[in-house]
Amino acid sequence: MRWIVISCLIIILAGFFCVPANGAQPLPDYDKILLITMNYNDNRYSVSSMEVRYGRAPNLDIISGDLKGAILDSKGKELKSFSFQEPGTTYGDISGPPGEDTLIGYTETSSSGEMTIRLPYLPDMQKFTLSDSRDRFLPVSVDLTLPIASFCTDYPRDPDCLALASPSPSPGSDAGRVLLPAILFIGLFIIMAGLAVWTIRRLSRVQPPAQHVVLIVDDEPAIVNLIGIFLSKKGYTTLKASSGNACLEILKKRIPDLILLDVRMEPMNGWQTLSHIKKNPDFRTIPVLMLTAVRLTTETAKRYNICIDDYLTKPFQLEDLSKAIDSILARKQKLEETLVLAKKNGIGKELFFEFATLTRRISINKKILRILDIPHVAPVHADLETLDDMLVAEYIGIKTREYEKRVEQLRREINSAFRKKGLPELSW
Amino acid sequence: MTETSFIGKTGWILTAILVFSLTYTVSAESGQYPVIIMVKDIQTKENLDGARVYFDGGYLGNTTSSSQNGIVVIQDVSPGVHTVRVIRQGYNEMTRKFVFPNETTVEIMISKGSLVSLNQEGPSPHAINIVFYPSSTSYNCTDHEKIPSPEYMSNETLFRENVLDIINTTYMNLDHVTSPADSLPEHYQKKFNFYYYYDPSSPADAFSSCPGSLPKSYWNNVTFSDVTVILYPTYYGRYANTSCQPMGCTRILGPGCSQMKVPADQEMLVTHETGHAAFGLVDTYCGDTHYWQNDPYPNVWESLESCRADARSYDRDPEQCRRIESGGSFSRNCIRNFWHWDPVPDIMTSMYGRFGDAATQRIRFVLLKAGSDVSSQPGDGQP
Repeated sequence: MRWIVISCLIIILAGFFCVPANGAQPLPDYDKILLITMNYNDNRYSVSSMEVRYGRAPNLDIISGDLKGAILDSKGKELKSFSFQEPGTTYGDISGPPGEDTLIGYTETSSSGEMTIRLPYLPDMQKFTLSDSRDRFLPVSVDLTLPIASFCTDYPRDPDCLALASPSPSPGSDAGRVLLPAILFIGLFIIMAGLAVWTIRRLSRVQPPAQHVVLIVDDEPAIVNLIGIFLSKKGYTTLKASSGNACLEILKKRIPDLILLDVRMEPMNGWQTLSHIKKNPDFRTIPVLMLTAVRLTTETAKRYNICIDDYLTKPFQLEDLSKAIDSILARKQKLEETLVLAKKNGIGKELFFEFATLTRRISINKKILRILDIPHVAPVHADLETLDDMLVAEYIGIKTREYEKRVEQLRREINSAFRKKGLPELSW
Repeated sequence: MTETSFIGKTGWILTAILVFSLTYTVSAESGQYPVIIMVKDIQTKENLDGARVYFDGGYLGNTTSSSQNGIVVIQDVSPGVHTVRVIRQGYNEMTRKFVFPNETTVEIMISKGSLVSLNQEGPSPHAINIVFYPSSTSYNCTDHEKIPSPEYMSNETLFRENVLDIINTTYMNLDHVTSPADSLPEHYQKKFNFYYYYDPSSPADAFSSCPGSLPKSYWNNVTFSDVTVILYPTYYGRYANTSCQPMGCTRILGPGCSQMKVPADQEMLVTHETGHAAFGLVDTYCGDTHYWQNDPYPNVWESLESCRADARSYDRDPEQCRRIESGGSFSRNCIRNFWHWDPVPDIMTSMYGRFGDAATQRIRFVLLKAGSDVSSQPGDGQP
């Protein structure tokens, strides 16, 4: 038995290390430069800023001059050196007048100015010096620790920053002797942990957080994919449709728990799709959450407010979407559970449905009124459109108050029936 | 150890791992969401595949490697400020910071790049990078005024053709204007990487100063340029008695970095300015210019002795060393304490002729250095 277990582990580990490397990817580009900006004035140089950034450095080897730059490592050893002419050296040329053979010079002298030095980033670079080979004067010597540290704060996963963060192996040590057992241990640990999680899930029959099916309808594939990834991560099963027609086709095959419906689509827009959904008795009970980048108009609100379960305006944060979906599905589940309870205790299904529908309507109407944001009093010079908007808002407001009265009446009736049966009262 | 005790101990270890794994899995799941990186074209707003995405400096993936075009998902992001860097061929590199969990979707809009490589086989490592930039101004020497020159701003094809003409007649033709005494390295043409940068909304001004001026954005986008050439179509009028703005000019900006301006229709002047900007050669005419002994392999010396010593070292006639002095009528009384060796007609003296032995020796030296990575460090000049 022992040998069987050990043999299995060896086979598993061998397989783990034999996974082929992903060789098709392009090589990552980690080239970096150190930018040193200096002010110069009569051969005096002062550093005004330093920055490490991604990019390529110029070829420092092709030009020579009296100024010598050097990059030193932490031990003061020269990693790279180069020379160049004094910045600002200018050669201006004009062709001479007819009959003249030579060019005519033109100089623009400036003993002061700004110079930017672009150096290649080198591992272990720590200091930059600038000296004048004519008099060995050292006008600049700067520590590069700060710009490198600043870069690594922004880019901690850059390989050069990772190398800085991890201590280098001591000379003479055999890295393989340390690494191999560590890799073996990690590999073993991953396999065992995977097996453990798998076993626990099987034994405890833990299901993903939700088995709900969400149909995402949007003609922008990126949005569909984005929401799909997010909802999958949250444990939902997703169906995807890129148009209103595709949505209706999917509904014929599978009924989701919720539809996320984009408004702006061609040729059938979201509102038209919603009409088709609500006309079909097989689909009409599916909650629909409208997603749109277009501001809700009063006309649309008036026509469709009775059909939708929620309304999200793009751009929305994924968390807002998550909350809206959770809220709709929780409401749906609560409705189903309470309905079962009501039916068992002889409470009329129609009564309960009316209560649930009106409760949902009140919530949505209040949200729509917030989105429309229409003034309660007409401005002095209000145009017809504003007045029309106000009428619609007033209409929705009146209907909402009617619903609230009816809901209170229904709640009393249902709670009364529940109390008689010894059941807890409605909590929503 | 008996078989039963072995299995028992293994069971305990497994249980410990199980508990740890479960705790870790639960804690990792709670409150953790993926961050979705969307890469889009700033103009068309379309999702872009083929973009390399880096998260906090580490390579994350390619938008084509994902099944979701234009999207890369980052798992298990820790709260705080993070950086996303996006690189795509033909587009400007873009870096954006975002705060997690405030942002769970990061949209990166990238714009078409203005830098165009002209090397069919792609840039060579350690070669001399020469970037052409169009100017919207020119100069009229008769009227002594800067004039608008919008030709390149509305016609990229014309600019590109002029650039290609210059490359073919000058840089690719160096062996015809250098001394046969010291031949250039074999395949010297591959020692250059050529690019042009075309952004009509930000043109260069060839006559704002001697070497002209470039938009600051250029230096941010093109960090690797060794020689930047501001190109304008033509120079109007001819130098007479009064001063005019120079037709060509080179300025040394710092190590490995110079800028020059030239008219597209004066190929010998392009060669002359390239002598300054790429090869570090010094003017050999006598006039108002900058003289120094440009070691190693100079074409101008600070003393007659050093000129003769070099001539003897390189098997040249030391008697040909001569002082830089009077040329034409405009420099009749000109004399400088510098010496040169190259015979006339010398490109570093006039707008015709060729590079002499001394100048050619320096050009060869630079080309050999440009093609070699012996003195370069890892990452230096890599495309």
